[in-house]
Parts: sequence; C-alpha cells; structure tokens
Amino acid sequence: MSSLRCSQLGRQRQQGVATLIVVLILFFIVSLVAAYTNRNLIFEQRTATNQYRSSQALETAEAGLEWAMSLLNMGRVTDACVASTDVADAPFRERYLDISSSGRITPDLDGSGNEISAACVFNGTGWDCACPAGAVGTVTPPSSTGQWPAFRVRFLRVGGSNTAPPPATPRQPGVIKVEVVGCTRADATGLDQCLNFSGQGALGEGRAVLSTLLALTGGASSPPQAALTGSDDVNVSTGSGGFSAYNTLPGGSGVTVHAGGGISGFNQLVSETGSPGGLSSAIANDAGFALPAVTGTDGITRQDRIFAALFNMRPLTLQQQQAAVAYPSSSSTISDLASANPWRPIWVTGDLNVDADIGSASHPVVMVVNGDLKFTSSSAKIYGLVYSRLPAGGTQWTTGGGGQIIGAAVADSPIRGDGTTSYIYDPGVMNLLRWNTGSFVRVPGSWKDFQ
Amino acid sequence: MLDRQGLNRARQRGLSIVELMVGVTIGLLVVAAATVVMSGQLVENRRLLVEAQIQQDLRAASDLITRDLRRSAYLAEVNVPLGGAAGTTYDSAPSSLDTLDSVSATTTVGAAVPVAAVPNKLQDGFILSSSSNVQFGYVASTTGSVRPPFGYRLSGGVLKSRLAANSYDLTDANTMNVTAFDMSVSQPTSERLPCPKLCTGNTTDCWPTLQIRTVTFTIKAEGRGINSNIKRQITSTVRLRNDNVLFAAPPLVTGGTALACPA
Repeated sequence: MSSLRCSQLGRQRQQGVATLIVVLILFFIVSLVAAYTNRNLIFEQRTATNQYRSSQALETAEAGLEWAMSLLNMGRVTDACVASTDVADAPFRERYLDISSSGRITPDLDGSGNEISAACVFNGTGWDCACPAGAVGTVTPPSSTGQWPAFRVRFLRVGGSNTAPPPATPRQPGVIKVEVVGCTRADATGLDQCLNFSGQGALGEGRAVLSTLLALTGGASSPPQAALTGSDDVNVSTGSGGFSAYNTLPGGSGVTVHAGGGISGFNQLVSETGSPGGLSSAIANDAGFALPAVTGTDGITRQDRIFAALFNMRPLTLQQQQAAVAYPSSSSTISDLASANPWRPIWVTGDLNVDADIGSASHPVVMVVNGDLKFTSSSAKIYGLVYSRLPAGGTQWTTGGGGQIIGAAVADSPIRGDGTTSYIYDPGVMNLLRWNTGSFVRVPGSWKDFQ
Repeated sequence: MLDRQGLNRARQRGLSIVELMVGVTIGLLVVAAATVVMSGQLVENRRLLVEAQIQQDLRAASDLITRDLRRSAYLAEVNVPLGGAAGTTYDSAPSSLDTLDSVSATTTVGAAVPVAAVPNKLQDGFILSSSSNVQFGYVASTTGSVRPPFGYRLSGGVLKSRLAANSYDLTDANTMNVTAFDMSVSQPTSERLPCPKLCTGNTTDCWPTLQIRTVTFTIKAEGRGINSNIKRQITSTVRLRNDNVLFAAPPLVTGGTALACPA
C-alpha cells in the first residue's frame, strides 16, 4: 500500500511532457531546415551532372570529327576501321566519298540510294568502330550497364542534298561537309535515339551535333604539263639506248620535256599524232623557272617556289601533313607502302631504287624523292607524279635504269642520267592525282555546333 | 469528510514554485540553445543559397559565352569568305565598343563591290575586345533576322549579351554585382600560307596568314548588400574552332573578284 502510494506520487511529480513536445518540435524544424538544404544540394548535383553530360557529348562529337578526318587521311581500312594492307579493303575515303574527274565530291549512298555512315562506341577502354562500305555503320555497345558515349559520322554534299542529281559544275571542287552526332549513353535501348542526327537526346543525357567543311589539299594541285620537267638543264647520256619522253595521250599538252635550261641526249621525244616530235615537242630555256629566292622572314628558296608552284605548299608542309607517309619504312617495301596507302603522298628520304611497280593506273602515287632515282628492273613502272628534290649539298638529279614513269616527273635541279627510262605523260593519272591525293583539312570558318 | 478532504488535497498536489522555476529554466535553456542553432542554420543556409546562386549565374554566363565564342567567326557562306555574296546584308561592327547596346547600321555587299566594302572586322570574325567588353560575330544565316555582331559586356554590375540589336541581362542584378569582366584574345600561332606567285616587289607580304586564336576571360562577382563579402570568380579559356585567315590589305582584286593569292 505504501509503495503504491509512493510510486503514484513519483509519477505525478514527473510533469516534463511539455518540454518533450517542445524539443520534438524543435527537432522537427531543424530536420526541415536540413532537408531544405539537402534539396539545394540535389539541385546543385543535377546542374553539375547536366554540365558534365553536355561537355562529354561535345567532346565525343569533336572526337568523332577528328576521327573522321584521320580516317579520311588513312590508307586502307577494314570494316572495323582498322588499318589494313589487304588490297581488298577499300580506303575510308573510297567507302564514303565519290570523287569525280572534275573534283566534285559526292557522298556514297547504299544500293537503295540511302545515306550511309560510320559509327563508334566507347567500350570502357577504347572505341569500337564500324565503317562498312555502302551501309550504315552499326555498333554494339557493351552489354554491361554503364554510360557508353558514341558518335556517328556522315558526309553531306556542299550546297545540295545528297540524293539530288549533282550539278554539272561542282560548286566547290574538292570540298565535302562532314557532320557528327555525339551522345553520352548508347546502351541497347537508347542506341538509335542516341545516334540520330535529328531529334532529341534521352532525358538527362547529353547530345551534340557538329559539322565542318573539309577540303582536299596537299596533293598535286597544279600538275605539270610535260612528261619530264626540269628547273635547269636536262642533259642525259645517249649511251646504252637513251631516255625517251612521250606526251601522246588525248588531253595532254603535247609537251615532252620542259626545262629551264638546255635539253640534250634523248633517244625519242614523241608528241601527239600530227604534231612534230623531237626537240620541237620540248620547251627549253623557259625563263619562268628563273625564280628569285625570297629573302627575309619567310626564307623561301627558289627550290621551295618551284615546289609550291606544283603543290601549292612548302616542302615541309607536304611532308608533315596528316596523310603523308614516310619511306624508308622498317616494315614494307615502297611498292607495298604505295599499295596499302592509296592517295597518300609518299615522302622518300635518300636515294630510291625501283625494282617493282609503284602505284597502279587506278591508284597512282605522288612521290617526293629527296635524292636520286634508279630503276633496277627494266620492267618496273611508276604510276603517278615523281618529284625529285635536291638533297642538301647535292648539285644534280641522277637517274638511270630502264623502267617507265607513267604520269610525270619533275626535278628542281639539273637532270643527268644514263639509261633507257621512258617518261610517259598521262593526263588521266594527273587528273586523278589532282583531285584525290593529299589530306582532307578543315576549312576555316566552317565549324559550327548548331543546325 | 476530513478524510475525503485529505484525500482530495493529496491528489491535487500541483507544482511547487521551485519545480516550476526549474522546469521553466531548463525549458528556456533548451529553447535558447535551439534558437541559436536554428538561426545559425538559417543564416548559413541563406549564405549557401546566395553562394550557390552566384556560382550558378557565373557558371551559366561563362557557359554561354564559351559556347558563343567557340563558334565565333563561322560564316554560313564559307565559299565566299572574303566579302559575302552580292546583296548580303551584315550589321556593321560598331566603331566604338561602348555602343554595344545600339548597333543598327547595316552594310549591303553589292555585286561590284568586293572585300573593301565589307567591314573589315568580318574578315577576322570581328573579335574586338577590351577589358570588360567583347564583341564577336558569326554568320549563322545571311538572310535571317538574327545577325552579327553578337557581344557581351559589363554594365552597371550586370553582364549583358547582345542579340539582334537588343541587350539582355545574363546575371541577376538583385543578388549579385559583377565587379569585373576581363577578356584577352591571344594570337600565338600565325602561319603564312604560301602562294605560287610572289607579290609586287618580290615579297611575300600579300600572302594570306592563318591565325589560331585563343580567348581567355574571367568574370568576378560578389553578393549584394550584407552578402558583399561573398566573392566568386570564374575563368574560361576557349580555342576558337574557326581559325582566322587574314588576307592582304588592301585586297587583291582582279575584275571585281577578290583573290587570296596574287595572280
């Protein structure tokens, strides 16, 4: 009885309920404030993620642009866009571009006249790419969950739709527009939406479409008119048979040898049918080669100017352009190098001995030889333009042997030689080289990231 | 009766004055502590909000300017980069940077008037910049109503952008005061493009030059009023994607056609 009373009394004394409620309310307010602050945090995070995604999409699209340019300036590639030496594999630019004899570039279409494209997806460590000939490039993103950035590349005709009949005269010869769509998440469900050139990206994902014009430069933009062109005298030996030069094909100028000095020692000089042959088909002592060197800040030599008259650039620029390939190469002969790298200028350091065909009638080469050239096989042929540069300390270009140069040959120094080489001017080869060789480069003022 | 009274009194014990005072004191202490914590929270939160807002505004502004600058010098008709097709209308670049708000003069390119008639600023993407003011252009469309020049400038503590002869605020005047907008255009790389022929006097002076340009800008801002001790700044460096090609001045013209290289 007394203990019950005691406990009753004790319970009655504990009157702290109000304080408890007050504390609870205060805690509630504090947690509301905390939640409100947290809401800001979430908003901040969303903003940051949006920024991240949009930057990633832009970078992906820019990577696609650079990738397309590099691939255009590469040699033969497989369907997975990997460099190949197999002649059955067409180079990237032949897979996607059709270049006419007047320099008009039109994008290739598939069999039903639809647009084709190349695509790549990031697989976590590198890019998986697809560039099939005559089809839309389709990539498979990794099956694991994750964010796989991807891009798709297509080519568009300048000033007209891809499918409309092309104008007779190209509006801009040698120029093509490339468009890239880059996106941040190409998983199995969102791939099509991701790589679609028009439309919107998926919710919360980034997407960017870039385009630029690409122009072909660095090849034989102003081809020579004679089978053999020398900046100084051309004085070859009549010993063992002698050299011959031909300019007989329709479309050619008929000029066999064009020189800044005297011409002597040829076995045969044959011009077009009906035109006089011999020395009357050659132009000797052309004062146009007497170019003054430019002193001053630019330091342009006479040799550089002769080079620029043909290629519209300085030797160093041609050598360092993206598409240029260097020889000697540790892994292949000059013939293999030329066959694996169609439309790429070959920069040869040192003397060159030719024992097999270089290039072909359909894929001629532009070759800059910094030294002498000698045919070691009398059946060997070079299809294309051979430009010989005088190496440092040299005085003349010496050539010899019994092969053929089908296209044209140019030397920026006196030409000497002993052999039976035939120089055959081929206007078809020159035209192919003019519109196909070199690097595709960006046209300043054409980059845009809006439609 | 007495018993009942005694019982009733025993039940209605109430609070003693001591109990009440102790209770109230403890309660007040708790409330005081909580108030201090909460007011501190609110002040901090308010400050955080202002900081976030300044940060967001700066980031958004810098993003916009970066994107716009990146595409600067884009020319819709790039095949006629020297002067534009005949009849093309461009807003001419203002002679003074301070008049960014009110540019209205236009220049129409006539058939027989080549390069010289076009504001020379168009040739180099007409990037003009001084401290706290930049102006640049790109021709998204030569026919639309939105035409260059576009630009950004700082005016009265607010960053403004110019679009189609109107000016828009980029930052919120109520929360932040933009104290500095510095812009510098660097032209570190310049490459002379070789032509097949020399200029008059056997020089290379009239050959075109390619310039690779980089723009760096910094925006500094602080809060308004009591938040003026909140200071933030953002810096962005943009490599302009469209390189600049500078042609000879005066231009090389043959038969009304502008030339890049001497004929």
